[in-house]
Amino acid sequence: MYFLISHTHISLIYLVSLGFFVGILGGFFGVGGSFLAGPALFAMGLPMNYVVGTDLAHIVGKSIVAARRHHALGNVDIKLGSIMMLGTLAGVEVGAQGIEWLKSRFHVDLVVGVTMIGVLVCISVFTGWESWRSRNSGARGKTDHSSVGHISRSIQRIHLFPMINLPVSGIPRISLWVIIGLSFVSGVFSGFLGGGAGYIRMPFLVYLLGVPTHVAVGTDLFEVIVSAGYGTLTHALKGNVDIMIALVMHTGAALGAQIGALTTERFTGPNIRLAFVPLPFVGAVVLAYSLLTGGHAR
Amino acid sequence: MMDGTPVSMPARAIMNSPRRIARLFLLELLVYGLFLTVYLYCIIQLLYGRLAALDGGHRTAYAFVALGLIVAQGIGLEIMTTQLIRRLSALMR
Repeated sequence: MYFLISHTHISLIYLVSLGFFVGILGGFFGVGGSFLAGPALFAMGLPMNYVVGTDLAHIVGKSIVAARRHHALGNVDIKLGSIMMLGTLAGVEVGAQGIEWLKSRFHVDLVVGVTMIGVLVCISVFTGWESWRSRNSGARGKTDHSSVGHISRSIQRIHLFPMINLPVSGIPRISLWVIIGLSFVSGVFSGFLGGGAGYIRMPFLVYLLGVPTHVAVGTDLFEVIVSAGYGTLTHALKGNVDIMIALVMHTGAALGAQIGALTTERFTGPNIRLAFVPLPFVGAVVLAYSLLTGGHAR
Repeated sequence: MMDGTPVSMPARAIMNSPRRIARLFLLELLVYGLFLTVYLYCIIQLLYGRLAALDGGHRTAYAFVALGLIVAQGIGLEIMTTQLIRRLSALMR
């Protein structure tokens, strides 16, 4: 089908199938899946500015479906998600300004691409190492044990007024500024590298704040609705969103997100984290391939 | 079964057989797929030209309409897919 807004030919079946696949990933891991959907859209000939904006629009719809499902399963900490939005939105702006600054001084695609590959590989290696250790350290059944739990306990002990409690996440006391600070950093990544940065936020929530994995997945999706919604609006104003492509992709993603969210109930926290390991790595490989070949698959 | 008569164990085993569940799942997917085809056709026929014109002439309006459309579709498909999953879960029990 020819898409009038972005002037691109893309198969409807390809878009629905791609949406379904990243929908499953989104529902299961709480990530937007931009590190896979982005290169997949780019490979079909969609210009990069439309890739970023259109993918964000599709993430909004998918996150609504998955977050409502996780909310029904009791996996969304609305209080934590609402606080995180403040830091994320500020961080996104700073990250976007960083891109503007880079544009005038360096080769922005190369700098952003290499940074993203480094970040994705680090996340993949660390999450793999930690979840493997957690699985082999005696935690069984539905317990959500982390072998680096001492890090989140140290962060929770930082006394910086005001201190709040997060009963849904099982955190009795934590500084508001710690949450805002961490979400600000994830927002900077989002603004700088594009997408919802769920691949950063999900590990942040689990390893740094000490949120159980199931709740981290649901809360991340809830937060992504607002941050990706804001991103959609700003990108649409700049002419970077082909909403028809997003609507078509989302028809597949809606079903995939439901299936992904329901599947989390059958896995323990360390197993979800271990299954997460290949995703950032695959994203890094796809990105490296795009950088080396300079673009489209067709 | 419909008049409230208890289902015998062999009958229940037939109802829950993997082949029957797979067939029901495929049937539900087919219904969902047909609905999506009609829905996408309607969207393309009714909205596409207008959205492209809006993007060209009134970018601010386009931005808000685009966000509104994806949110509305998100809520609508969430309700629909929830019903689909619920029906499948009931059939599998």
